[in-house]
Amino acid sequence: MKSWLLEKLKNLPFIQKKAKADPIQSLDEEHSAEQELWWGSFLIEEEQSRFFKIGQLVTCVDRFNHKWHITTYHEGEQPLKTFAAQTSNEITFKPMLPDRSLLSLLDRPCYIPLGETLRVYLSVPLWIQISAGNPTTILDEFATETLADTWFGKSTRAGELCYNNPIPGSPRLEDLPQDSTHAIILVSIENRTRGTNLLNELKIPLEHLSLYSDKKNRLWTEHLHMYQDDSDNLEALVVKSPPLPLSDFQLISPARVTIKPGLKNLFSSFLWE
Amino acid sequence: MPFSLPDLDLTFNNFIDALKDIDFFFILKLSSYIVISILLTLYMCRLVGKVSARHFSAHHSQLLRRITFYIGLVLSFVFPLHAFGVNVTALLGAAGIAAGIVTAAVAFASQTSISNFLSGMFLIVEKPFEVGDVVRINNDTMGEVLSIDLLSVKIRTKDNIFVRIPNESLLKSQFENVTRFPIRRCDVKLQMGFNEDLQKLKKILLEVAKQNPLCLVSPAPELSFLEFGEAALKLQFSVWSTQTSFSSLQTSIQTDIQVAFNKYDIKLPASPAIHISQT
Repeated sequence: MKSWLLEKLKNLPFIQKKAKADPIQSLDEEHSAEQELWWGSFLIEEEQSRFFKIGQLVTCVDRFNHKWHITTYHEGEQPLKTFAAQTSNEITFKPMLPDRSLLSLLDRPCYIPLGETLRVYLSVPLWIQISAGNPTTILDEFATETLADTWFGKSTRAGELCYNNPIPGSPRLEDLPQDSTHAIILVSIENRTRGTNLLNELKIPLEHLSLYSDKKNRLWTEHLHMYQDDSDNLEALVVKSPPLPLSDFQLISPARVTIKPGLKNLFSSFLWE
Repeated sequence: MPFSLPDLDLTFNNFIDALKDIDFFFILKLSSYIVISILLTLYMCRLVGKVSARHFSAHHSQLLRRITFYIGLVLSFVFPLHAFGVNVTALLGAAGIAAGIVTAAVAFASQTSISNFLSGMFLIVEKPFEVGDVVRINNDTMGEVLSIDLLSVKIRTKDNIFVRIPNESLLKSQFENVTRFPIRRCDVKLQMGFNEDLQKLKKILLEVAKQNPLCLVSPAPELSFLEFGEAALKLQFSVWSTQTSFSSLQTSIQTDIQVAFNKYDIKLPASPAIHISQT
């Protein structure tokens, strides 16, 4: 190769770029922005109101004799909801994962060679559950962001209705929005098939995942490990493990469905066969 | 024949004598057993209905409930009678013979009913639709299936009219089960002027679909060019939705298209034609 060409290549930014540190190892150092804590229990006396600001969303809760009024201001004022509940003066806000699976594209399709593992981060818009009293009575549950529906399946006859994630997954955590109304999912996809496969999108069984918070009030789900075995076995194996090697994480809301999640398959080459 | 008082007195005395022979306590006991058995049958029906609704389709659950009811009803009479020493075998034999004669006579007289009955059997086995499905028959009557009985299928139309269709005619006619699959395509047919910028139109329509919360992201909405019409380009814009939101989408997508066309000043040909079809 000519020397002037080599010189030019050396000067190009991607040659000189320093290798990124392992995102898991550097989580606490690089992304240590503390998030505001909005979940927990709050006291409201009779005939009193209280406003709660959760990200871009504002919720007003009014307490009356044996009833609660909840009004949400988000993408315009939502209609007032009245709940008849004989409760104490305690109201609890809890972040929840959406109630259905989530279909998320990757920021760019990725080939995974045989035996290799791809690690992807996904950001999921959360739901909010409001309950009152002790023991609690669930009053309301709503999404902080309305997600469009999408179909995931081999054909239009058989498949599953999922939420479409507007935020594509990325191998870099810093590419994703990290605020108080989003949770982060780390997914490891291992290719144990007979060759290289292309990964376009991922279906995440959210109803099987729990939500945890770390000491900086960031929300995480369990770490998902997905294995695609071989071409004869179209079922992918999904294994959950504690959120991350993070210290001091605590369970905020358990999984909606406790049975072991199953996944049809991971690679589009299998999906459309 | 003239009716005399001594005769009447004699008949009354005979009746009183006959009443004296009857064991009222026995009848009371037998009746209470039968009533309890019927109540148990009704409870069993409810139980079968609850359990089967969890594991089977609405149609099969209804069928199981009915079978349980009829078997339970027969047993509610047979077991108490047998327990109180009545010769049930002879009774059933006599009932069977009588039923056989009656059935043969009725069958001979009502061939249509037999045909409907056999068609009903085919419908149950073939299962082209189930209770709760929405069907369209002969491109005309459309409604929700309320029940699939042995002689007819009962349907409730969208305007809340009860329609009974004999099984035989249903089996002979063409019918569509529009709710068989979980998602459904809604086609909006458009006629545009020859000078219209189709790329711009496609962008606008895709944006309309993206903004409509009832449109599914995948399968993706698409604009198809159908043909060159006499005075316009014939296009079809297809979007997908779930079965439950299909009716709402039919209206909202057309309204959204109208609003977008006004916003971007897209003119329809002189005799504008926009209609929606269902796939």
